[in-house]
Amino acid sequence: MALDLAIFIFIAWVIISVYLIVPKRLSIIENFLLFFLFTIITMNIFTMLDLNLNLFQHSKKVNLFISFWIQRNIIIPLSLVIFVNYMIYFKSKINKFVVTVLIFLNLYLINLIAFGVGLMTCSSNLYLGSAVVLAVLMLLAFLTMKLVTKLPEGKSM
Amino acid sequence: MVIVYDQNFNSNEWFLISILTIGIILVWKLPKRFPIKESLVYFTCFVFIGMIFDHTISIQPFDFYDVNDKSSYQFMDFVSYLTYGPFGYLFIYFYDLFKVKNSYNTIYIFLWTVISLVTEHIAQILGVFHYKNGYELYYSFPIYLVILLSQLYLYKFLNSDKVKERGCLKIEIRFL
Repeated sequence: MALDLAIFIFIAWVIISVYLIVPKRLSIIENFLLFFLFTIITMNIFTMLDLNLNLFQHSKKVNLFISFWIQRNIIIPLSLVIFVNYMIYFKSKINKFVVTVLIFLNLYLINLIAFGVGLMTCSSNLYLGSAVVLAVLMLLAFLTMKLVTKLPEGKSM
Repeated sequence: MVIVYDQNFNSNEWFLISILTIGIILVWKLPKRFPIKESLVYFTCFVFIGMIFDHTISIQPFDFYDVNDKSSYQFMDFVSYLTYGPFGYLFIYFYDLFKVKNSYNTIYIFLWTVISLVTEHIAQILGVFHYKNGYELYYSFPIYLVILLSQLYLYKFLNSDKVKERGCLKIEIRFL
């Protein structure tokens, strides 16, 4: 088994562990719903950047692709779920800002590792572009959380 | 390199629009059984799992099929994933409505797997799916089993006493 796969499985395990211990103000149903929505958003954005815009390319090697898959479908969406849970948990704006910065840096570092080990490739000037993508994902996550928590509780659909 | 199968707005697009419209009308008009958020979870879960599988086996290094007119990602590809939503919701809806016993779960899942395969076959004929690299329709059989089983497990989990005791439907949040 390649080292990169081991690294990404370990990162995913850490993120899952963090998710389990963070204080959750959202209900289980909301957490599920947000996780599904964040994964769908992340997958769509990554696929468009990859297949349509060719801004980055994921690896065609199977072990690297599995690591890429873990990053796209577990690490990023679950980090966003942790982020929105903290946004609700903390009342102070300073705490919210610190958590936002920490989660962003964490995601960006994982992104840099992904580029470093070859899960994704792009021209050097696009490393900063990936930071913009992560910032957009976090913003969308926040807006989606606001939308979901404002949904009525009654029977519908 | 982008493969172009078709340039026109024809059978595959109309099929997806029809399926999605019928699905949404059914979801909307059927008597309500779940709270809105729980309904959305069932709806989104099927889109989520379907998309996970499609965005895994339909791209490199596997690349077993393309969806709709081009091998690149298009808006109609996204619409095709949305059609999974009503399907997943109705799967749980009828399970809950008919109060299917655990001993009949296998038969229930098998029936819905057959319906899924028939739908996929029609979609393939109409040009929604273009199989590549030796992929065959029956390869989707285990995938549907896994998807439907996961959906059913999610329903059981969300309706378990333990989750309900924790107040999964409570919502009292102060915003910024």
